[in-house]
Amino acid sequence: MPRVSGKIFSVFFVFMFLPIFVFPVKGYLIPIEWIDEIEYHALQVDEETTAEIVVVVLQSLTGHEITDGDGNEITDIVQLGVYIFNEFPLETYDGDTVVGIGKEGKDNGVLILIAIEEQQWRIEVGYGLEGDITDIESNRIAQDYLVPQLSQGNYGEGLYDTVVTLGQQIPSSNQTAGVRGTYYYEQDTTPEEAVPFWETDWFLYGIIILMVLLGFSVGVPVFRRGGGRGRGGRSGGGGSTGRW
Amino acid sequence: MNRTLLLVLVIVVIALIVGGVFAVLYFSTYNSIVALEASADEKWAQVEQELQRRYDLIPNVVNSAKLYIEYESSVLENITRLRSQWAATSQTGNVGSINNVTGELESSLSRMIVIFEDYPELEASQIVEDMLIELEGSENRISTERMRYNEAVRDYNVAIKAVPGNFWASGWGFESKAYFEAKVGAEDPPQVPG
Repeated sequence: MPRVSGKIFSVFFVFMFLPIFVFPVKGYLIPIEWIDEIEYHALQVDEETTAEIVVVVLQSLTGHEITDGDGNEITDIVQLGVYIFNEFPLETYDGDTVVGIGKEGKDNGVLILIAIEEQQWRIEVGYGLEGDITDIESNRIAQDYLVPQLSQGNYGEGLYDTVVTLGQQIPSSNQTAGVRGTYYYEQDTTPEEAVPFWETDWFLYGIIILMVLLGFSVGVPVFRRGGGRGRGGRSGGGGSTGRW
Repeated sequence: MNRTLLLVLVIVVIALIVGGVFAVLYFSTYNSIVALEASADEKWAQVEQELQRRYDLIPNVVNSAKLYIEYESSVLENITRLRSQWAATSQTGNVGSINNVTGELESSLSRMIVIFEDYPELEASQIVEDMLIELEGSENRISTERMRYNEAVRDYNVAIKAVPGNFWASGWGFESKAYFEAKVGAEDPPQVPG
């Protein structure tokens, strides 16, 4: 018995000194609170209308390593939008990847793509929503809600307002379809920032490993990959483009 | 006697296998080329639809621009002329000539956009801004569908020129299809000012 309590004490001892270490993790370009708001609202739109509004934030139009069929990096925001909308595999909440924004056959997706460095935005509208969100309407929404906020650096607020306003254009549907679940994507090139260890994933893993070591049986989530939901919606260059 | 029979049997079996493989190859090649041709044709229809969309849009754009532009009316006349020329050409279904007229039309439209930028009161007009957004959307749709058509044509052309398609493609009456290229100076869709 004294040996066990000695072990527990040494674990506490290690934890007492852990706070002096900081772990680097990925930082987001927009505040995490706004990402949650965007995800939550886009999920509601998905549930009510089955349409998927997806936000993709790129640091720059170069260096993202998204290439066309010939292996050349796509640097034109319109072509990039079409490619991400139709060809680029995006991971959804359940770990599957799906190609195409919107539901298959309905083509009811919307992509809001912004490139911070070039100060360019693009709203790409799926074939199935071109009637509900015309090019003129998407441009008006962007001019009224997106551009003013982006030009002040309020990326989160601008994107959120745009998602909300675009969502209002889409008529509700009584059909049910599996929701996408993940709507916000960001290019993974932001500088890593140092955060205290208790905010990192390593802390969680550490606890799990610790619990396993201490003899607790815990359910560790297993990543599922592969098959995916297959094909999503399609688009053909509809929407609008601009700068801020 | 027995040996001869066996030999004949072996030859017959080999002939059947070779014939069967050949037949499968023959028909599957034919079917895949037909599918690729249908895919290219479908994408061409999509291109034509988007070209038609722009065609329908042009009178609105030209008319709203006319209210503001007096000097460069020749540009507008040129666009109107090319528009009717395009309509006549599209009836022929010849990708090559449609390509030429479309290219000319696109460079005229880009020139018109440049002229627009010299007219601040034109730029400020909400109607004209909307028209330009529509036009830009049209150009984006055309270039997207054009890219998809060209990819489909490439797959089709490869299929009829590569082994085994090349053995029979001409006999079946498949000819290589023309690409629908963007003309020099027309790669960039007109940018909306501001």
